[in-house]
Amino acid sequence: MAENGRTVTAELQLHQRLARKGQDYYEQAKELAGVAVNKKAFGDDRRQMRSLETLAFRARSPVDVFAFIKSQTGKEGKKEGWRYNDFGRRLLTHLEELKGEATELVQQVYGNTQDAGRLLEVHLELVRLYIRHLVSQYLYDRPQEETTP
Amino acid sequence: MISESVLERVRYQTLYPDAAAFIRDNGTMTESQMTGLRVLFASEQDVNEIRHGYIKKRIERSQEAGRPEQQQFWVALDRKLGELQKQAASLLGGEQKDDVQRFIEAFIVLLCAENRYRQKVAVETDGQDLQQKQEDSDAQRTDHSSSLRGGPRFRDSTPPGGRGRRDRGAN
Repeated sequence: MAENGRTVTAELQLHQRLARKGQDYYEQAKELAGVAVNKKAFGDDRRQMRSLETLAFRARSPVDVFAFIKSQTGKEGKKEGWRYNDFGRRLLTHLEELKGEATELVQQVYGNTQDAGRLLEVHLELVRLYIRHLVSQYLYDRPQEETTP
Repeated sequence: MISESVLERVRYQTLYPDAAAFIRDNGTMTESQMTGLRVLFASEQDVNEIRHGYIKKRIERSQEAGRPEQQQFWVALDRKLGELQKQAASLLGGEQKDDVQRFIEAFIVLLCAENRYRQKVAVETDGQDLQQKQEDSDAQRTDHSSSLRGGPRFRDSTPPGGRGRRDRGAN
């Protein structure tokens, strides 16, 4: 059964590959989460990371997430926040570079890299996946940071 | 009417990289100028009116103030908006005012995010720092006076805020 060129097999394949990516991102997100948990970044103030997560899951395009990160990183404030240890720039670069992985996935699953709509969807899924791991890891690390003298 | 999916694809493939390239090539505007631009688009003022009103005024004022870099920024933005109007009309198969407006507003939102980002984050491209930090004139004066009180010294043409960074200032 196909809907707009999508087959059940292709969709299952995509989900399997996304699950594998999730395993990679679980490890990859630890480093940036370690930066986020620092007091000079967000410390125990969960709002920024929660906002990022909420936005990522409401976004219609990776571009919405990128624009949010850019705005937050460029914002004036007393705390270094998103600029601490280059957090915002590093996160943005990583998420933008996921486009390469999305292109590969689209090619592997659908055999077509010219479909911008599909590329956008897969890229957005990868962005969400990474952010989900980043925020989970941040929340997990956060209490440990609090107990550190 | 332009569909959401078409607009999303254009934002992703064209407008996002275009906004980044524009700021990289032309520098940044001040926070107050950015707010002014956002407000005009948010209030749904016609893009032609914005070009012939707000932007034209910025070009004239920067010329009067003898700030060619700033003048070039606004001239480039005016040109870019003109190009986007044509691009939108061609994509939509004709001139549809509301859609063209949405198309350009989408660009402006991305441009402002990029603008704010580049004011704070240096860009390393081909070994050159292309960040062009700007401050409102008040902030500029404050920073400059604080630098004279014992902060780092800058050459006349270099504003406080970074080595080699050009300042477009506020008009």
